Amino acid sequence: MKVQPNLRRIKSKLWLFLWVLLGIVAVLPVISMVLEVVIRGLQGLSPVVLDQVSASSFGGNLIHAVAGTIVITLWTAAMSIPIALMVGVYLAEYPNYRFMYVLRGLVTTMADLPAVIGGLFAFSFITKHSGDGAIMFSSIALSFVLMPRLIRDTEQILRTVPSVIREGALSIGATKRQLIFYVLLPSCFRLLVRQWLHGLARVMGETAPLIFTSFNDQALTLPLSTFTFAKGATQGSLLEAWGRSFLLLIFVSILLLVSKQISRRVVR
Amino acid sequence: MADVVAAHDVSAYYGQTKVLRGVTLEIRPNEVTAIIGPPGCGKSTFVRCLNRLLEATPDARMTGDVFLGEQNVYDMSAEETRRKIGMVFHRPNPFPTMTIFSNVAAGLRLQGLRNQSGIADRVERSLRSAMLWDEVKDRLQMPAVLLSAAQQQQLCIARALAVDPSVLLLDEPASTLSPMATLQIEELIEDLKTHYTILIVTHNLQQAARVADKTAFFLSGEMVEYGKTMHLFTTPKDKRTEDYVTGRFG
Amino acid sequence: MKERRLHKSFGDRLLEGVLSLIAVFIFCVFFLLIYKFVIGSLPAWQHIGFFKLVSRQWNLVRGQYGVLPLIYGTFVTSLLAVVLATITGVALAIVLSQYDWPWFNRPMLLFVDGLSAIPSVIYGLWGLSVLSYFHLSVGMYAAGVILALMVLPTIVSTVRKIMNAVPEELKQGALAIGATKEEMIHMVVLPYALQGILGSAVLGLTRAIGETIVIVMVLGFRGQTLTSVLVNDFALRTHALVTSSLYEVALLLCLVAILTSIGGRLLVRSAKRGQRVPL
Repeated sequence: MKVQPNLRRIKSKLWLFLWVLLGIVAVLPVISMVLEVVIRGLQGLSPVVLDQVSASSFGGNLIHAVAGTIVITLWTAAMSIPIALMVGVYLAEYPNYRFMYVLRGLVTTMADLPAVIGGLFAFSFITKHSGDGAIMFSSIALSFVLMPRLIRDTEQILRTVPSVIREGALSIGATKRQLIFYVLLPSCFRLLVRQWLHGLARVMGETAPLIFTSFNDQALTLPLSTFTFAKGATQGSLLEAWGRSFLLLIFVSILLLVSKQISRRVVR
Repeated sequence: MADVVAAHDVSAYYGQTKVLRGVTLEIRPNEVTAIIGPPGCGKSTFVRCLNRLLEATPDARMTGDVFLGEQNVYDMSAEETRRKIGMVFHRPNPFPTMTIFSNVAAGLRLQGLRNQSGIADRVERSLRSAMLWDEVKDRLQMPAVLLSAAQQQQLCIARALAVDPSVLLLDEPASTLSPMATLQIEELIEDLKTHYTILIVTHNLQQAARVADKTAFFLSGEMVEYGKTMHLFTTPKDKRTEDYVTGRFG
Repeated sequence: MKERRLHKSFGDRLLEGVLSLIAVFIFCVFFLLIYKFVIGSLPAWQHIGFFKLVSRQWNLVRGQYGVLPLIYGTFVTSLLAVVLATITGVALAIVLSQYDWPWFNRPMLLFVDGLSAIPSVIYGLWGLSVLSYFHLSVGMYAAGVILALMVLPTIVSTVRKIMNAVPEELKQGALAIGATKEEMIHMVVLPYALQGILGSAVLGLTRAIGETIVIVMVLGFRGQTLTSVLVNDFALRTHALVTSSLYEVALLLCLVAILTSIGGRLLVRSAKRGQRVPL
């Protein structure tokens, strides 16, 4: 009972065809998505529409959302990067304690928590539901999302530094502090920056957490006002949403392209 | 001013595993002492006990005493010990983000030296001692990783020499180098022994025979035999040494 | 015998002290999270009790607090997403890891990167637009399909790494007995990667369960999930017990996410570790 060799070959090729087809089907939407964001986004940003926006107050104006996005992203960076760096160094460079296992597990688990949890967590600290504080609480919410991811990445990056480099530094009389600050961190600085930009690009597009911390400012950031306009579901408001999402995609792409550029230099 | 390095009853453990069993060994100044033995015999661990680098390995600990000249190294700080007992590793490990110059200067800067001309002086002297000066003097600001493997290893030797040690530990310094580069390093070792106490770990018996005045043979964490290199290779006292040097195992 | 122990200078101890304090801070944040959510949800627990919680209706305004429909919504959308993403993701990972076709693989990798870079709110917007284009309605299936796209990059990158690590001897062994390349993939590569595929699917599930804004946009009011309800009912927070029951749902969500996260990580990690053994 031998299967014909030809039949086997045809069956094999059919499998290959299926895999390729499935792969293509899976990623095709990304093209449609980018095209649509660009085309409709440019329409949405055309001056005529912008004029109409200032007339309708319900989604808030564009500059406000852009400024909010930038400020909140910067605050998030300022809060989470230093702490993530320290905890990452601690995990990678002070091994050998049982505490580390627990901490590493906790950080990984926190990194996998839904982002919306961060929003609700930050919300739980809000006592006064009026006035100013949207920027601060939103940054706290996003830091809660970003920090565990950065800690994990920092540890992994530090672990890629070969142990002979550590021993080399110690062998000429470096203390642990000097090893960390003069040798380890400079030698993976580019990778760290890349990871930071990558992480920031990710949280910059977060929408759900901010719903809890926006103090009813529905246009606090670009993703949030995209969401607000999309809910409006009229022709005009959808166009607004596209315009905002286009700007958001531009911001995110800039961060990612810069980070990619940095990593390319590392490879050299 | 080379010093004697003496290990007294040094044992080392990784977790529960004992990898060195009470080694006592005196390394004479202005000589080259080689440690030979099959992989896993504890020779690398032993040299890391001498400059207290083993402490930086998670889960590792040691017992016993190490003397540098008259002084117990445990009366000094670990950093001071490592400055006085320099080390070169099996794989060239220049600091990847630093230039040639800053690699050699790294140890001095770590000590807090700020005198630029003094540092430049010491860098030049160290690079000359490592026989690398002529090749790199015009490109000191080049990233160190662009040097060839042999040059990188010489650079690491210069880096170790820059902090003015009296002892140099070489942990299989030529194991990743080509035969030509190996010869170059061996000549350098020959030259350095007039100023330093040199201990070289090697798995290459010919290399030990070529460069070492004395040789110690390690097996399973114990020092089996120690003596003049010629005697150890031609008329070993221990059966196990004989088996090893004649290539019957390992 | 004298034990030689690590001696640390004052500065090094100070640094280690500061670092460990910050590390303890991370613990505090986590426990604060749990504490805040538990305290916040206490009124709901007291008022609702267990039986109302597992009932079949969720409508805070009418005082119906059953979380079963939410759990149902989460699992239907996420499972659909993960199944679709695993089938297509594994197919893509096979081609990317086993076939050296730069003309195909490079753009594919770029697209997968793109999928992971696009913010979720854009997925939602795009989803609405596609649905209206084809005159389809919002709902569970639409949400599941769009979630699948978001989960895909996670699965492709994990599975690809594991498939890249299949030992060459194994592959050549299969080829040597006359298997075609595709038969070899069925015989060797897929079984080798199976555990990793499962693990990455569970990790994808974690991601799908936690996704919020896309669900809110594309599911509409054809159902609710553990995440969408947080956003949708947040507006009702002036009503009694609403905030409290949202904390309760959030606790439940954390629990589900933690379980799938640990499960997925364990599977992937042991799959990666298992690779080293046959070498």
